[in-house]
Amino acid sequence: MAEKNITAYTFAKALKTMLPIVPGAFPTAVAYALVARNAGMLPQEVVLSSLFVFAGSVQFISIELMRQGIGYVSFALTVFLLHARHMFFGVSVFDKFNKAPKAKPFLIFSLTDESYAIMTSGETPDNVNEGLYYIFIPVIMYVTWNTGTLLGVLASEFITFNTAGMDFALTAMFIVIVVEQLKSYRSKLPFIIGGLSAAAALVVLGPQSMLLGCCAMSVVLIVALRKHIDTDMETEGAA
Amino acid sequence: MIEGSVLPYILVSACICFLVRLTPFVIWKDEGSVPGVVRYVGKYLPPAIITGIVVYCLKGINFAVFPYGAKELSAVALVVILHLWKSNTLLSVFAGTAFYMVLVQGF
Repeated sequence: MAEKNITAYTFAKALKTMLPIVPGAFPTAVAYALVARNAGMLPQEVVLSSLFVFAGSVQFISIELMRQGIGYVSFALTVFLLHARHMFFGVSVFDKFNKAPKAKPFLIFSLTDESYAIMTSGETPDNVNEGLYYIFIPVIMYVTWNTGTLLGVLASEFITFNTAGMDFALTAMFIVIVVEQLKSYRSKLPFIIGGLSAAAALVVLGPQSMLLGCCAMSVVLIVALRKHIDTDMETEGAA
Repeated sequence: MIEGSVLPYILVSACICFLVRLTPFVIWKDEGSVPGVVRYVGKYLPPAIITGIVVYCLKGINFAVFPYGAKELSAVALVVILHLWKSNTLLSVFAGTAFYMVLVQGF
């Protein structure tokens, strides 16, 4: 009986932790499905995308890239770039993932901005099964995201209004992320570096390779300007 | 509009995303062995990249022709102001998108 209670309690605590995230993630998934269907993706393709890619920004950008008929190599590079920050997420969650070794493949697969932020910012609640707690969090995220996708796919069958301009939702989402991060990073230099590098890359390299160029320039400038960026403590921003 | 099957794209992105997520666990055994500069870049690269993505999303703006990008820029401004004011992701994205759709379809 005690076992069941701890599990239920752990799940309840995980649910509570994820409460601020779900109202944002769910509509974003719905929006993704609507935009994807609007662009011509088939329902099953949209669903598969959320099931196996499970990365909001990549999924959104992919719609645009696929619409432009980008080549597979450029596509792969752009996806890599866009997702590259997840390469650093693992660094901060080693200990936590080791608490649930059997679930590690799923935990690694399901790393997202949100679950990373959740796992690295708060303290683990008392009296929970830690291993289960770190499994429940991404499970809740995964279920939310895919349920939202499914709902969006279903809703797209009934949308009759003119959807021109709806893919601005993608831009709006990233703008929101930038605004949020501006609040939590004391140094604004990384943002300036990113924006200017992207603009320069657009001019020099063109739209297909601009993200690659932006990343390369940003890494160089961020390292070069370390003294100015890394000086004081800021509140830990969600990466 | 997207023509044909996009399954290859989905497969490619699924594999890359998983490999990217997996990389640190394969290269480094634990948090202690990650070099300081990697950790530093990992902390400050995300805001740079995401800002770059916003620029990427807006790359199609035509400043040379009427209305000189006013539709996009005003929608961007609305999202920023709304989010600074209310900090509600849903509201900011929805209102900004609806506003832009009206501009694009109405004029």
